[in-house]
Amino acid sequence: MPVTSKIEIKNASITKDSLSRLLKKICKERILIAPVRNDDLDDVNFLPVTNPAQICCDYDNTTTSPKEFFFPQYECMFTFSGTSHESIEAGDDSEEIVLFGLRACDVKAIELLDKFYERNFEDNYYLSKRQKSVIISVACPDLNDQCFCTATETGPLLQDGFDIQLLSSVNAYAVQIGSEKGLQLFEQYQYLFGPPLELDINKLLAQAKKQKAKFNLQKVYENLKQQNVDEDLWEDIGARCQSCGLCLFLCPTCSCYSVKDQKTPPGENRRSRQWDACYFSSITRMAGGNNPIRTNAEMIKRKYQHKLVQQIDEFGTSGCVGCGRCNLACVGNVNWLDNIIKIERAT
Amino acid sequence: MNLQYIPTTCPYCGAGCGFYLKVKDGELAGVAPSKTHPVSQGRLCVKGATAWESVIGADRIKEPLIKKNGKFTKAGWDETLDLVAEKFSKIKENYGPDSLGVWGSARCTNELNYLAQKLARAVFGTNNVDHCARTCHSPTVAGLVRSFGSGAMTNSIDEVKDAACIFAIGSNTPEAHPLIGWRVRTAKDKGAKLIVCDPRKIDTAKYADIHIQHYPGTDIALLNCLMNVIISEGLEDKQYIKTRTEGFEELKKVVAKYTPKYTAPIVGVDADLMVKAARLYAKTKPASTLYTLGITEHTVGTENVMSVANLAMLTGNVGVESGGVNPLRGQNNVQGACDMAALPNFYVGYQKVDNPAIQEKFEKAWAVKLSPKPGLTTTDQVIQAKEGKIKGLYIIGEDPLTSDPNITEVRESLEKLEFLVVHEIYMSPTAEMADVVLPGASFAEKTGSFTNSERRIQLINKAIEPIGNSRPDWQIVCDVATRMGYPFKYPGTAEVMDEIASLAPIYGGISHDRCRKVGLQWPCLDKNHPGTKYLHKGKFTRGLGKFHGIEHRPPAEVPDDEYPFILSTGRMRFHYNVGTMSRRTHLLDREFPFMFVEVSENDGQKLGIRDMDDCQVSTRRGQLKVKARVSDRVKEGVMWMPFHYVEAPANLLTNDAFCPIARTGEYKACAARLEKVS
Ligand code: SF4
Ligand code: SF4
Ligand code: SF4
Repeated sequence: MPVTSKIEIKNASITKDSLSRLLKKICKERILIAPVRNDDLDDVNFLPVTNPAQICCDYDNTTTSPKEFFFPQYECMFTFSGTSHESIEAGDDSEEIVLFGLRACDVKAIELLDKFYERNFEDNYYLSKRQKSVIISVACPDLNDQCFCTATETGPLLQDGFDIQLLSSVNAYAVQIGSEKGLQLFEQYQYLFGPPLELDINKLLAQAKKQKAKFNLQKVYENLKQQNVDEDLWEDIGARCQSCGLCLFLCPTCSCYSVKDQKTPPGENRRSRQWDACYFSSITRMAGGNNPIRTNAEMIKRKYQHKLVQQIDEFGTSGCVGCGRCNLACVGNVNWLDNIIKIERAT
Repeated sequence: MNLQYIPTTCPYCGAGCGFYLKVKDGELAGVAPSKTHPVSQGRLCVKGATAWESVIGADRIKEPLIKKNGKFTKAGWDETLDLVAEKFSKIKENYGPDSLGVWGSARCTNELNYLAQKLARAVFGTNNVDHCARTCHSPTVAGLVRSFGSGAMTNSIDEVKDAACIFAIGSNTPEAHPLIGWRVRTAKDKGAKLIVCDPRKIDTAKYADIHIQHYPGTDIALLNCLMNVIISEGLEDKQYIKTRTEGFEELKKVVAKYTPKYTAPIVGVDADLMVKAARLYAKTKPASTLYTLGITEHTVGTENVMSVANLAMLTGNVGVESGGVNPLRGQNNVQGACDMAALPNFYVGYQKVDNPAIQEKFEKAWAVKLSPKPGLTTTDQVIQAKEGKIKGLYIIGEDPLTSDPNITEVRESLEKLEFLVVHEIYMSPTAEMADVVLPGASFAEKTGSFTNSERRIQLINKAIEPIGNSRPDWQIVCDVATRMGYPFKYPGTAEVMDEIASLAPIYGGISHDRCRKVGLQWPCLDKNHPGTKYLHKGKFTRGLGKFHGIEHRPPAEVPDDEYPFILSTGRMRFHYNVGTMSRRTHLLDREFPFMFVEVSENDGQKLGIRDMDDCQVSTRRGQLKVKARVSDRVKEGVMWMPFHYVEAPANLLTNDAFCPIARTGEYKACAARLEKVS
């Protein structure tokens, strides 16, 4: 079963009051996940809420990405006891969830993860959670100084690929419904929605497109593919990277994981998986100690090649959605956006 | 689904990053960085980013254990605590209070350390209380108190990025303190000058303006030489020396001898390079000095520290923003454990135990008679245990059988004890020797506070329930005290902090509530005090800064024909100390799963040893079989080993020669031999 099926876009509207009522209803019937500001430290992150009053509306984007609701940082795959088994049932802890307040880039990131986890081998840990989810995204008013979705064509508002998209207007939101799942949710609460606003979405889209792209993706793609980039850049980034993994853990499209078996007494064993990252040299090291990726420079190049060349070749869309989370997460001051611009200017 | 983000403080190094523990349905499930935290600012090193996994190993100690006929049996808390109280009371009765000792822990909270030293002083009746700072930064406290009057990092972590010059000596900053390493990188990216003095070509050395690769154990000679150049070229800050310091003439006399020509063969560094470094350092201000255990873990540790202080005062770099002398504290709460007086000669807040007025203040506060006699350091407790003078030890969260120098000797000492209690989260070689093992709750399972390297008091919050039947360490200490007839009654750790604030002037304005958001930096004298960003502004804590003229002395053991190498030890980014937590973290252990020794290419060639060959490293105390890592990282004639591996503990090899002032062991230099094993 595909995790989502697109429909022809349907327009509606919802007032700010009705939106609160909608979210209150959803809280009661399903699990609502929305941006919440921490009381002690000021970060905003997606977390389950029990009351819409907990939701933070004033945020650029969250510190961590919403991928963790489908691909958790740490997840038990199954447990077993004894030593020999014909087969073991995979665990499934998926629940009906509604995610509210995602930005366009994060929706596009999840779309990419869908493609990744559906291809070749279907990853049911991911897919079962995705199937039971509906996403209500909110288009961004503006780009901030770190994000760059206009360059990767992943925002700030979406033309397709969403369940429900909200676009802020004066006292109400324009509502667009773009998938079966979105439509079902809409129909369940139809009485809370109003008729389409006199808001020309195409004009908004055209306006958004005019926001200057911070680089030309095609040029970046070509320079990487044709290896036009000076080795010095890779050497420099390689020397800066301290293998903390954070830029990849934070990335909404990174999908690597490592599997670990652990004995948990008394007598039970647990297989779990956790986020892994291609900026650990041990991810490619083989049992004998040999490593096909010999230097840090080769290691760090992979993220650029994978997201900006291979994924474009494979899926037709950029593997980086321009959320900007990784730019200021680095103890070596590796700034992904700055480096992409350097790559663009290589020729 | 119930996912929560619980803000807390990193349990590893002294940088003191903040992050969130992810808790999913009551279990730890990850870590998220915080963009607003003053130290980490959206970043973390790999240990912080994986810290959630470090405390949920299947082999956590889940029940109290009592050794019966040489074997541990599980026991209930009541039975165990009764036994502990009874045994300690008996030893006290039979041999006197000074036959007991308590080891607090730089890994545990301020509240635990305060209560542990109160247990020693008010209940056991002895000042024999200390902690593992003895093995790292005690020379810092001893040295900087003598030079400045206060033994802490002078400036704040975030100031480092704005320094015009950074002088890093004996500090592998990016590996041992990654979030301070980030500031060094940022300063350099902004155009600062960087001088790194280290026997190894560490990451910062690779992008430094000047790398001085001197021999381990020659820091005083090197520093004296830099000062010699500065004074002979008239580059010292004369006004500052005149108005803010004393003892300059004595210093000048001593360093006169250390000309670059005289010093070069001692330190193994080109004379011109030292001249260049001295000029660059003296002319680029503000200059921030960073140092860690490369300075302190020597028989001349305290004097090394005072030499570093000399250099900074000579150029007027103390008491200024983005300057200062900055010992980077290795453990999450080593600063706090010192502040809390898990030290044999101080009450909380560095108030001397042999000062009668102070003694009276604490006797009144605690309503008990106290000993005026300074107690024994951990080093000396071990030595006196061997001599049969120390009979009972209560060790909290430490593993001297992996972390102390010459562990064969330590084992013999601990075997002599009548009663050993170890309080741990995982079994360790030391815990294996104990009569009673008390299962403590980890940082994720309790509340309290840590004080980071820049004196910032920050909270940890309870994210999950204590695992198994373990309990928060502070409660265990309270129960032991209460059962020994001195009730410790605190509703929670916030009230323990209130008592600390009432007794230690430098913590006077600290409370958990005030520390909740971004912490507070001591000195913080009262409830309205905003905390202190950097020390010694306008005036040193001791009044005038004091120069000390110090002569170079070689390490206790120097290379000879039989042991021709200098062996040094240290820390790596992916592991932490004795590895209790990092070795149980999948991604960390995968990256560096085995012990090794670093050797230079030339030495490797001479001995026919290639990268990844099996080899044996021996010293007068023992030998280890390890893999060789041959590279250009270490200086010829020097070998380097990490100390994170219990299965191959580097401290079988290190020398139990100690700094006579601070009693810290010489981990950074001993004589060793290397052989190929076929
Ligand atoms: S690579 Fe960086 S900017 Fe791009 S999607 Fe990932 S985190 Fe966002
Ligand atoms: S954040 Fe920086 S140091 Fe960490 S893995 Fe990414 S590039 Fe490397
Ligand atoms: S730098 Fe230190 S405090 Fe920060 S995450 Fe790493 S180990 Fe923890």
